[in-house]
Amino acid sequence: MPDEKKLTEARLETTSGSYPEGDKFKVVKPTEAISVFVAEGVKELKITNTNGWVLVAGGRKIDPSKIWEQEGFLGAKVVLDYGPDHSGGGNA
Amino acid sequence: MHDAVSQARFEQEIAAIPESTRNLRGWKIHGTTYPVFDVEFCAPESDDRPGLRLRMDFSGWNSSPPSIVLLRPSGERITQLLPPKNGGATGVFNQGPHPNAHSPFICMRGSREYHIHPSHTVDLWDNIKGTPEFNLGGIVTQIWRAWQKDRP
Repeated sequence: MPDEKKLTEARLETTSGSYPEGDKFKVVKPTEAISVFVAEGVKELKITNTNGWVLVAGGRKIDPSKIWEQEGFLGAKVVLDYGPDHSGGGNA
Repeated sequence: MHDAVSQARFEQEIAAIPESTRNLRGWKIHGTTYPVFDVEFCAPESDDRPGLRLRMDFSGWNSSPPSIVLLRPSGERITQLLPPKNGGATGVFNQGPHPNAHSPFICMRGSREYHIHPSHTVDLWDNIKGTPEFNLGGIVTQIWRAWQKDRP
C-alpha cells in the first residue's frame, strides 16, 4: 500500500539499460507527469524512438501522461517496464 | 555484413540488456554464443501453461532478421502450438506450414520467417532494421509481449 509520507521513487527498465543505472531508484515529484521521468530515462539511455512503446508496472499498463499520484504510486517504489508492444501478427 | 561486425553488434545488444530487466520479465538466458541467442520466457509457477523458449539465429545480424525456432523450456522443439489462452490470438505464433522454412514460426515483423514468407516479402526488413523496436532486445520484447497474451 503506498505511503503518503514516504518518497515516491522510480526506476525504468528497458532492453537498452536501466535508469537510474543498476538497482537504484530516483526520487520523483508525485505531482509531476510520469512521462517526465520516462523522457529523462530515454534520453540517458540514448533510445532514439519510442513510438508504440508501452509502460507497464505490476502487470498493468500505465498511462505516462498521468501524474504518479493518479496511478496510485504516491509514496511507492515503482519499477516501470518500458518497451515496444508486439507488432501485429502476420497471420500468414 | 561482415561476420565480425555482425557478432560485435549481437554481443553489444545482448550486453545492453540489464540483469534487472531480465529478472523483471522472467527471461532466462540459456545461451549467447554468436550467432545463437537462446532465451526462455518463464511461466509463473501458478500458471497451467508452460514457458516458451526461443532459439534465435542471428547470423548476418543485422543485414538479416533472426531465424527463430520455438522450443519448450526443456529444449524440445515445438511441433504443435497450444490454442491462444484468451481466445484472441495475436497472430504472432503461426502453426504453419511455412512454404520456405520450419513450422511453427513467428509471423511478425523482425522474424526471418515472416520476411521470407510469400505473403510478406513486400514488407522489407531494410525499412525497419536498426530501429529500437527491431534491435535484438526490441524483437525479443515484442515476442515476449505476444507470448504473455497467447501462451502458445
